[in-house]
Amino acid sequence: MTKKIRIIIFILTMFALSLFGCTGATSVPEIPTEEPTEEAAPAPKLAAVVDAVEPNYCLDCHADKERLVKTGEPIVEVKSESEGAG
Amino acid sequence: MAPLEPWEKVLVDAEAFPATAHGEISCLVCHEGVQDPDKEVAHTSLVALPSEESEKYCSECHPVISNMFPDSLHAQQTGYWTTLDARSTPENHPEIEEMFGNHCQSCHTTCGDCHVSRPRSAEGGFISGHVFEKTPSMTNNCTACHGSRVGNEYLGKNEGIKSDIHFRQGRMKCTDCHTSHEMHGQTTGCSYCHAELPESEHLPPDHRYDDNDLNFPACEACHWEAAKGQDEIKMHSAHEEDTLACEVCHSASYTSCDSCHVQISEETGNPYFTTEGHYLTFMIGHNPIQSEQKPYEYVTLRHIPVDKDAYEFYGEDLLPNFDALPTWAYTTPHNTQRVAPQAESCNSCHGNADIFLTADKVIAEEVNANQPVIVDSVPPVVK
Ligand code: HEC
Ligand code: HEC
Ligand code: HEC
Ligand code: HEC
Ligand code: HEC
Ligand code: HEC
Ligand code: HEC
Ligand code: HEC
Repeated sequence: MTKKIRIIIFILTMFALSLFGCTGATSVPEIPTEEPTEEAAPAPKLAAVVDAVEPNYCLDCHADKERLVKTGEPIVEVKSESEGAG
Repeated sequence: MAPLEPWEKVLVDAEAFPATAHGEISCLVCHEGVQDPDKEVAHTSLVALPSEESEKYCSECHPVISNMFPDSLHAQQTGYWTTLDARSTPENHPEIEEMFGNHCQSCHTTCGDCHVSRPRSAEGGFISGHVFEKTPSMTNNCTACHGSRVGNEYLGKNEGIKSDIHFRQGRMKCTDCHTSHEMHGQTTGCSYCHAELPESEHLPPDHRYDDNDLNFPACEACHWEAAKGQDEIKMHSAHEEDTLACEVCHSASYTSCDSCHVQISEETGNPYFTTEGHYLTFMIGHNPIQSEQKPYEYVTLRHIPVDKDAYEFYGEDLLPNFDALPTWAYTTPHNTQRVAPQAESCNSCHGNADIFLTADKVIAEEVNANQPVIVDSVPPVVK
């Protein structure tokens, strides 16, 4: 379709909408959502879900500032030699 | 954006994250590794950036996005390759690929760079304790990569130039115009333009500028009365249709750059670059990518930092077809103004040679490359 035809169709559509008193039309076409949302998303495999009883060592450490500070790698200062805008 | 402490970058919010859909999944499902209190053991075969492999770690629940995104411009950086390929030759490909790996790959984008963390090129770090944000943050995500040009223009950080009216007046964020479909490389399909082709959701990534109404933000999509000269504004009906792109009248001066050279440091082994110039310009020229979607004859152009021997470090004469593309490239500045200086009156533009890319403004070595965009004569003063 050429741009002109699309615009004509658009104008006609808007005209028709105004005739039938339909509100809520916008000039930006609504983009259909193809992405499944919560209900469409398959439940994660059972084994994958954290068992509430089991300890989660990952989270234990990653939620503990002190331990992260202690176990963090020392920062190596690397001076950038780049000059000018990137 | 203040830098984060190393611990801050990896601090998971133990209340907020587990309360989300992703927080219900075991860390190991996405990151591999081993459940163990010792850091070294726990990190055995760790996958730090699962979304680097979105087909593996995200597609179970987000099949469409995860399978499309790897072909998108953000993942592939095809925009870079299109211009590199045009200026080089297949024989030079190995050297160019090595250069790309060292200097360009760092801007390659993962899902996490827009939804979880600051991009790694901006030192990384969680934005909100590992919670996956639906809407990327303008400053923590988008302008962390698109800062020096788009970000500075949009937010009004270039001296003496006001921010974009969509930001200043409309409080709009990047994602108000750049939708998830565009960002994920999801398109309406090839048959939209090529009736003979079978229905396919994959648009080749080199169709960067062949937008259709759904995929790219176009000024015309939101302001169609202006585009058709159907409003009260005289400037909008002063020219034949498809003569001037909106930016020609609506953008203020924007960034151009000269001569970028890339190298590996002998001292540290790290990649680095030097650019020679970085300045504000406003230049109108012919449209180098005229098409049904970009029909305008005149557009804004900026000088890009390409140079005949930009990649000299990697070999001699790697860009033998340097003249294949203009060095003054099509650009869509992000500093829209209601009344920009060149549109204050008809004769702010007509007869104003300073703002047209005439041959005398192009350096001698680049005149050939820029023939398609150079303007021969400036429109005469109107009475
Ligand atoms: C649904 C998959 C998923 C789950 C489950 C998950 N993560 Fe992540 N994680 C990610 C993504 C995506 C990123 C961002 C990096 C990227 O771009 O892929 C990330 C980043 C990280 C980082 C920062 C890595 C870096 O180098 O920047 C840490 C630390 C981390 N996660 C820890 C955890 C912990 C601890 C858990 C369990 C409580 C967990 N993650 C659960 C997907 C996941
Ligand atoms: C086991 C299923 C599952 C996996 C695997 C998964 N997600 Fe999700 N994701 C969901 C669900 C369910 C939602 C909707 C959450 C909501 O609406 O509260 C979601 C929402 C999102 C959102 C939008 C955030 C929001 O709050 O709406 C992003 C972004 C996202 N996921 C990215 C990813 C990435 C990146 C990966 C891979 C590293 C991934 N997801 C893996 C189930 C999953
Ligand atoms: C990790 C760095 C990074 C982040 C984060 C990032 N971008 Fe990009 N973006 C790039 C690179 C690199 C390209 C160029 C790809 C090319 O030309 O091949 C690009 C291209 C684009 C393009 C043009 C191509 C297209 O896909 O439409 C737009 C528009 C864009 N980015 C907007 C955004 C917005 C909006 C955000 C935030 C939601 C964002 N980007 C976040 C690096 C990034
Ligand atoms: C360049 C930035 C960028 C990248 C990279 C990116 N997204 Fe998005 N994503 C967005 C934007 C923008 C939205 C729309 C947000 C809104 O509407 O508020 C979005 C929305 C989403 C949503 C919510 C549902 C929807 O369709 O609106 C999910 C789920 C999602 N992204 C998953 C992913 C996954 C999985 C990846 C990697 C395969 C990814 N995103 C990569 C920018 C990005
Ligand atoms: C008012 C709408 C609007 C807003 C807000 C907006 N953009 Fe854009 N952007 C556009 C248009 C229009 C184009 C040009 C598309 C074309 O020519 O195909 C574009 C193009 C781009 C491009 C590709 C061209 C280039 O100059 O590299 C990037 C990158 C980009 N935008 C990033 C951003 C970022 C980052 C933000 C937020 C800071 C943002 N945009 C905000 C409308 C917008
Ligand atoms: C996604 C829709 C969208 C896109 C795309 C868009 N605009 Fe806008 N524009 C708006 C909105 C909404 C406003 C009103 C802001 C306000 O005043 O609140 C606006 C305001 C403006 C104004 C100022 C009007 C006034 O009231 O003073 C100008 C000029 C303008 N836009 C030009 C452009 C140009 C040029 C482009 C392309 C580079 C563009 N717009 C792209 C939505 C858009
Ligand atoms: C020849 C110069 C010129 C061109 C080309 C041009 N404009 Fe304008 N436009 C102006 C001027 C000047 C004004 C402000 C008039 C005033 O304030 O009196 C304006 C005003 C506007 C406004 C505000 C309208 C209102 O009613 O308040 C919008 C929106 C706009 N332009 C969008 C666009 C878009 C979109 C395009 C491209 C399709 C475009 N303009 C092309 C010169 C131009
Ligand atoms: C920002 C620049 C700019 C502004 C402002 C501008 N023009 Fe133009 N105008 C041009 C250019 C460039 C051309 C040359 C078109 C060509 O070569 O075909 C042009 C051509 C024309 C032409 C020749 C017919 C045509 O469409 O090619 C007329 C008549 C004209 N302009 C009238 C006006 C009037 C009247 C105003 C003020 C209301 C105005 N212009 C404002 C840039 C501008």
